[in-house]
Amino acid sequence: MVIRGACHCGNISFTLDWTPEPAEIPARVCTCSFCTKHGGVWTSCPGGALKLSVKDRARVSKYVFGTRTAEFHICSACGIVPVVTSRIDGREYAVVSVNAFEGIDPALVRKAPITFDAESQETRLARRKRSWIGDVQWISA
Amino acid sequence: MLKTYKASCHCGRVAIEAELDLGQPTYRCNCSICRRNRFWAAVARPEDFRLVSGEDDLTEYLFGSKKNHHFFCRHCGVRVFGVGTETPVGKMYGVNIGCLQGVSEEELSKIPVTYVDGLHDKWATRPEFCKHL
Repeated sequence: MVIRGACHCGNISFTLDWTPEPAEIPARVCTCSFCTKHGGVWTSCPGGALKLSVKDRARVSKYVFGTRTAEFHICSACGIVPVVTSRIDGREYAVVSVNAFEGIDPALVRKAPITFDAESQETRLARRKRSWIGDVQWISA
Repeated sequence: MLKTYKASCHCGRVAIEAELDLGQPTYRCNCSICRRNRFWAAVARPEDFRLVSGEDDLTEYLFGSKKNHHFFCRHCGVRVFGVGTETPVGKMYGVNIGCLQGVSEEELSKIPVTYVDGLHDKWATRPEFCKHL
């Protein structure tokens, strides 16, 4: 399944090729301080391939906090965060926001609240390597 | 009952205070911007809203009819509040409940929510699909 998504103004967009074809899309309603304020609901498929496109790089703010191991890519024009990346052992991993999906039936998305606050940094990075999208490509628009 | 609440963005630069009644309906909307950050608004009258800090850190985003002014912190992107200029009650502020300080999970769970179909400009109508909002 090919899933397209974007921030509101379209400056940051993505195409996620989710393989194998999902019967449903599990989504994490994260309860951390950032996601509570941002309404963050994230998904990833370890076997998928993500292409990210930015029209104007000057209009992307990268925000880090806490362990500073993940970058939240915020569109400076509309404030939306369609993607989070984490560079681990030289490789870039990503999760995408289900809120930014375009043309996907909301009934396919299975949301569940989750808290990662108690995780050690080592456990956190290992989990990201295991469950985040490991094939991330930035495409010049 | 009106009570004074503080709210802030994630990096803390943008802070507001507002008198809100969390026993009154709050709003979730299915429009293209509210869906993207699952905006959950409590309504404040203009005289009950104060921007405490961060005026220079705010970016304003307008789209469509440009009647609603969407503000977010340019550092962390958080949308603490928005301003509706032509609502049934006139100008009003929508304060992001996710940004409120000092509200327990139990209190949050009891706040009445009204779903509105902003996607189709039917603000008095419940959208056909709400579960994802």
